[in-house]
Amino acid sequence: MNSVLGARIRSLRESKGLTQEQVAERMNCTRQKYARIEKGLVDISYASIITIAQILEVSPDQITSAVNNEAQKEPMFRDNGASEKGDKFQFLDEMIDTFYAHRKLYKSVRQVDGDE
Amino acid sequence: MNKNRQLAIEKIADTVRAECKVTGYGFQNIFEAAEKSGYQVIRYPIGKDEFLGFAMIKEGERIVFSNSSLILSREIFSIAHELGHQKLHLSEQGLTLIKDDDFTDRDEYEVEANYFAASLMMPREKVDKFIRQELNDKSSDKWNGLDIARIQTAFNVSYDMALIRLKSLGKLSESQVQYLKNEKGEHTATKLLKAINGNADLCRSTEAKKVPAEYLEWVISNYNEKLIPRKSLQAALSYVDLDVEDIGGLSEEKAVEDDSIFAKIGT
Repeated sequence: MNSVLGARIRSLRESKGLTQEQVAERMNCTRQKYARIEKGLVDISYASIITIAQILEVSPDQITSAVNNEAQKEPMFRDNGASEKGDKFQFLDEMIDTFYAHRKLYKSVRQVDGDE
Repeated sequence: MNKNRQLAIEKIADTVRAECKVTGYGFQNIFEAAEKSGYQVIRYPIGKDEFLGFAMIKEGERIVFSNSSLILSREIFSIAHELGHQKLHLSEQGLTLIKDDDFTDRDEYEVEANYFAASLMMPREKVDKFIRQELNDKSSDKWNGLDIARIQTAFNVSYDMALIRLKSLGKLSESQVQYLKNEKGEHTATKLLKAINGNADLCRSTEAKKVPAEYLEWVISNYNEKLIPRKSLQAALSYVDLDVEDIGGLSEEKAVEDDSIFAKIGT
């Protein structure tokens, strides 16, 4: 999850034309530490997500949308009546994946909170 | 399946009953019992003609699923059967998922999971005890449909499963099974259960949509921590027919849409 969030932050930063040094300076941390966030080598706390989102002038959910996209699944029992065996399993598998994506986000925030 | 394997499976089933603290004849609520012994239980009505259940390991957590479009006694058996796969087969050979379209004895795994479920739901000694103490040791050639309905209610199983198990334990002959099946045909299991004040709910489907409580905790917590937008919360809740409004404890502030977060955190 951290690598997903890190990659997301990196692409958002690059799209803003900012360097790692610039972001690090505004976060009051070293470039090396910030680089580790982008590489997903350290757990990203919720506070960091908020701070980075402010610096990059995006909403926090643009950073965490890797999870959000997972949650936008089609509901079951579509009205087309064309569902075949297998569809239902896929639906359940997606439902479970959705909840587990939330779990990863939940855990990634909690872990850091616990360490601090 | 050889005798040693049967005995090993019976022992595992006994362990599970002990873990779940089942002291009566059957499980009062096998769904809750499975949750308490660490399984994530998911129930969903996916249609009568769909698969019955599956057992899965996801990120180290063990999930059992049952199709709640089927009658409750069948669904209970599904969970017992999937617990069997969890205990006996998953991860042993690198398997992380077994999906069950039916419970016919196609292959060894199915035979074993069925044997586990039967041992879990109707252990030999509990059946003996019931026949002795509740049926007053009535000879099985005098049993009628009402007696089977009593067994059903005590063990929370389907009429047919009760017959299959009683036959495999040597309590009923094939001709007795046929006779008792005809009894059910004439009266229907529902009527038999009602006649003895038994659990007629066993013959109906619940159409339950249930996921483990922690699943919703993750989602709601993520929303409260402002990690996800309201629409993601809504999307996840809709799986279990809940609306954001149904979730208690969300404060006004927490329900604010994400766009306004920056004003609140003092940029």
